[in-house]
Amino acid sequence: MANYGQAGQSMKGGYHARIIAMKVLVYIVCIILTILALLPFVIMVFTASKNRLEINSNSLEWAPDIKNSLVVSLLPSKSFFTNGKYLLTSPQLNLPFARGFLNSFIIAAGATILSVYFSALTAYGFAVYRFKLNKVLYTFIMAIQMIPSQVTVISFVELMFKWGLTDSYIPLIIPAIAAPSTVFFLRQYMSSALSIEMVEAGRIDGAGEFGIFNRLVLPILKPGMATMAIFAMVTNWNNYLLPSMLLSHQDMQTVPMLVAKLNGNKYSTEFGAIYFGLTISAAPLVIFYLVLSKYIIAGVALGGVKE
Amino acid sequence: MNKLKRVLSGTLALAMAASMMTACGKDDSSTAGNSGGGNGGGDSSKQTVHVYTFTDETQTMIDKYFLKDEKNKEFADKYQFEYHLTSDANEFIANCEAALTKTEEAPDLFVADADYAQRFAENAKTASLADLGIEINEPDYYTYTLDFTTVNGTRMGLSHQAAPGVVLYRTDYAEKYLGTKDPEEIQSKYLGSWDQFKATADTLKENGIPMISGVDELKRCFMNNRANAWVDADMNYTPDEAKIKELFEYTKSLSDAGEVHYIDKTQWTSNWYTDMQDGVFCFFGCTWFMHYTLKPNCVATKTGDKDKDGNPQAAEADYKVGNGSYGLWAAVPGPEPYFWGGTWWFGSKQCLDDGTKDVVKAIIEYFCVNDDSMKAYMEATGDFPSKKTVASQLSASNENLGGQDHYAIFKESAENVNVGTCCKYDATFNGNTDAALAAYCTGTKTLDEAIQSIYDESKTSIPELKEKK
Amino acid sequence: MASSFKTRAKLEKNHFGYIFIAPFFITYFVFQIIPLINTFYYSLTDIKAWYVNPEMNYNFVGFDMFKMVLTEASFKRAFVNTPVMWIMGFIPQLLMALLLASWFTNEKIRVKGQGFFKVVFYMPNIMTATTIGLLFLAFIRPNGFIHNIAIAIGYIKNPSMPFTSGWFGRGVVAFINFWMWYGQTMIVLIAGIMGINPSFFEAASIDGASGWQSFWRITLPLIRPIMTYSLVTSLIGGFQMFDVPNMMGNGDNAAMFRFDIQTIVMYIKTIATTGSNSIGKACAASVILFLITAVCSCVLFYLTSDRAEAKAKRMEKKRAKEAALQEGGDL
Repeated sequence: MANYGQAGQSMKGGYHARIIAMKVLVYIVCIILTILALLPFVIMVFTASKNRLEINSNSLEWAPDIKNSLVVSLLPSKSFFTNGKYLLTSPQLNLPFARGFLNSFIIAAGATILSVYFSALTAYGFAVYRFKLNKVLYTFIMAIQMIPSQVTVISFVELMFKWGLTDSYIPLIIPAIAAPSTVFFLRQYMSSALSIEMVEAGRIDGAGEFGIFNRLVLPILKPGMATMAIFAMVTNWNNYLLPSMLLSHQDMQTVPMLVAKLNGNKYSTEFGAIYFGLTISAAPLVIFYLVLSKYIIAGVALGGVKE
Repeated sequence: MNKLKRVLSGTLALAMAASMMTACGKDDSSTAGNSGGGNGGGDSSKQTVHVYTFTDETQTMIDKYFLKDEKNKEFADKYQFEYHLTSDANEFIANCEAALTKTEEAPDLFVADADYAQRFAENAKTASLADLGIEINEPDYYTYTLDFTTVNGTRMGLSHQAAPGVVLYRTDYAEKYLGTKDPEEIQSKYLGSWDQFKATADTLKENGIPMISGVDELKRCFMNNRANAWVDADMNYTPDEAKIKELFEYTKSLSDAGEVHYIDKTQWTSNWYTDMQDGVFCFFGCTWFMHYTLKPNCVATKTGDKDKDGNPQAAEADYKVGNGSYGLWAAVPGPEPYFWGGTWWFGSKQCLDDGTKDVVKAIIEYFCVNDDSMKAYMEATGDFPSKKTVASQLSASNENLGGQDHYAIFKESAENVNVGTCCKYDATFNGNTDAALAAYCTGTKTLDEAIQSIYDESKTSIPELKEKK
Repeated sequence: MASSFKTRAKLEKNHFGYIFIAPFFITYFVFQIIPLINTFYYSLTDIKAWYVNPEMNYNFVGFDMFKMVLTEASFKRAFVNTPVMWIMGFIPQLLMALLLASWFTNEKIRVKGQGFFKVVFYMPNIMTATTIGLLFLAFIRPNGFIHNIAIAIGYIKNPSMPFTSGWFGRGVVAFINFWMWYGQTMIVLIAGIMGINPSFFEAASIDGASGWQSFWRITLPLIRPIMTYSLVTSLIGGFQMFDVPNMMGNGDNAAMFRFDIQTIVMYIKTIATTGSNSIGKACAASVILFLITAVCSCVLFYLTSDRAEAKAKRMEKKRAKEAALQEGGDL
């Protein structure tokens, strides 16, 4: 699309050499960045396959053998399943990861469904109906996107204590109904995807306002909603600060909280098990990402261009 | 778009299934092997007792000792126990205090570490021993275990253990480099004072053996002997600066000389545990440290072996001399008497309302009052009791200590421990002291900066704190 | 399109609009506005956390808590650390993203495997930040991967010595931020560049502009609104930085430079959850965070938006959006 080419072609003889040199440079940088992006995860998986002595390879020596330990960092070993078994079954580590996945999933899925549905509803309300406060309230939504959510975390938690909502998923799921940036995105999306004729046709057929929204409008918004759903899912899955302050019951804790406990756990003698814990906490996201990467990348491009 | 649609609808279906599972399957989940959660398994005829704790030891004590005892059969039939375990100190305080304000799932019984025992003793929801109907004969106890939980003269909780500190050293290194492994000689010539300790560290350094694992190894030996609490009654900051300086300068003298394995805080990290197998000369341990921390970590576990299920207590066969450093240890009182922690048991006012008072009382009495059951528990674990009357009956031949009777040393050390120096915010002050000490030893901060930072960091989380007079 | 659509939507059922938007505003009021008002209110009191003070006894102390926060060494430190780490991460992030975006949209270079590179570069962004934080903490520990490299290249002379330098710690956090976010910025900028009207470049090349010149004169000014947007969202996110530095600088096993990577939100959480659990003081610090963010966002918007060009840019953005939508739709 962006065409820089024509002027250059007629200019110099070294032009092709320059392009080739440029290409080489570009690929070298890209390959370095690819290694940079993947290396930490590779080391993580490999270290998860080692036992304690292999990890603390220099602990028996007063002067550690650096070269050896560097090489060792980059080679897999065979204790992967032992570490896994240790992590998941040891009463000393006591981290119910299986349960944590379920918990994170319930919170993320619940919050995603609510935020996407109600954001679509809100956006539709602003797009189709002309009421007095339409402009004012929409500007309000634009403005509150700028309020850092962590400003209110402390008094939010206080309030939930007062209402007896700690150790409950309600404060982690219900507030998702009000997601300003999702409303904003879907409102923009509607202006190109939705036609008023369809709404009017629905009315002529005698459908109610909510019927029109649920049966006619929602299917049209699906691609946009799916994009937002992916991001809501990831954001809520990764959320740490609020759950860590609200949930204390072991059976209710989420994956990021369990990951944090891998570090603070006094009973963890096995570093391999910690790396294993990190690996399994990352695995679902990697799979999720690889399956949906095309949509995620397209969604990022869309989301960033918004005002 | 079709693939996306399929993935999303699959996700939705899973979400529905998941929420249904949680809606009707609460009990399934707790029996599915989460030892942190409901352990009684959802028998609705039994009343649930909620136990809040910072250590997995509590569950072992109740399940494996209290409930297994024939005499407590009535409680086993009547109650089921749900354990709420949080190991991080600050998180435990927050969780347990939050739970104490509730009525649902509120703690009936909870345990506290030395760093915050005082804080829980002062909690309005904590029941006093009198409330629980527990009577004790005070002179029987090592005084410090009672002082920790006394508020305005009222005794609030009891510890089952006294935790006098000892120094645990490697007998093989001692024999090789010091020429003797005899505890009495080691105590009198090599580890009996801080000067001897440093000289011994120098000797070992020449032979390539670091003296201690990390810079936080010595802190309790100095700081638990501080002259006064961190704050006075009016919240004036009253640090024992002489002690702090002593600790900081002494530790730095070791770390500068390369006699500390890691110039870092190592306690409760994998480097510390690995050093127990092999790597350093000694550890500043205590009663429970020996059987709970050192014993399971000093054996060299072989990878891939079937017995490696992560549960050291189960792998009894591993405990043989020659496996790792097992059997190569000995204990001496060390340069200064001190104590390390303890586990204080409290009943809540909630248990008075819940009707679980009888079992809470029975558990506390079982581990902290009744001589016979205390003795049985101590003999089974090697732990050391908070009652002198029980301690006097105990003797042992500890295999890990090459047959030494550790009780003999503990009895001597426990008498010398004096405490009256704890305050509600010890967890905060002690944590900040750790960080300051590490910063000083690594050279990031000067001595004055490091000491000042203890006040500054503590003031951040305790706004009421007033400056030193 | 949007405006004509609105006029024709003048329907008799307009009051339904309120019903449609009601759930949003009710939820927002209950879960955001009430806590926000409380935050301002509590900041003037000495209130303690509910679980240590169930009776909710408190005194009004005026601006005492603000005074305490503003004069405190640990607040000043957090207040410096947070923007410093953000800037250290954001500048390379934006530059790298610009460089890659200009390469990937360059017709002459025609980078192959763009799809693959985009997927790989973006991947760290969706990972759980606590996982990333703990992973890097494990790397910099003695016996960790990065620690071993530091010994090998002689940065650390004594193998028992952990990393202690505050600037190293801030550098690690900044690097993680860069590493997690440059892919995201790159994708956004590519979408922006693709949305620029090709006729601009044609005109430029007829005038004899070089590739570099047209990038500097056309591409950059036209994607400036997108860069502003990235800058402001990144700034707001930067002030809220928590998960990664918290994993490295909090708890029993924190890195040695723990206080040099303490951010404002970590500072607030420390006040509220440790010691005497002073919610009043934590809320005063929250109000300050709120004001700082608000002022910075406004200043940035004013500095970077040129009113005269605003209209033209809006046109470009719309075009970019359509292009991106099309890309999304084609998949």
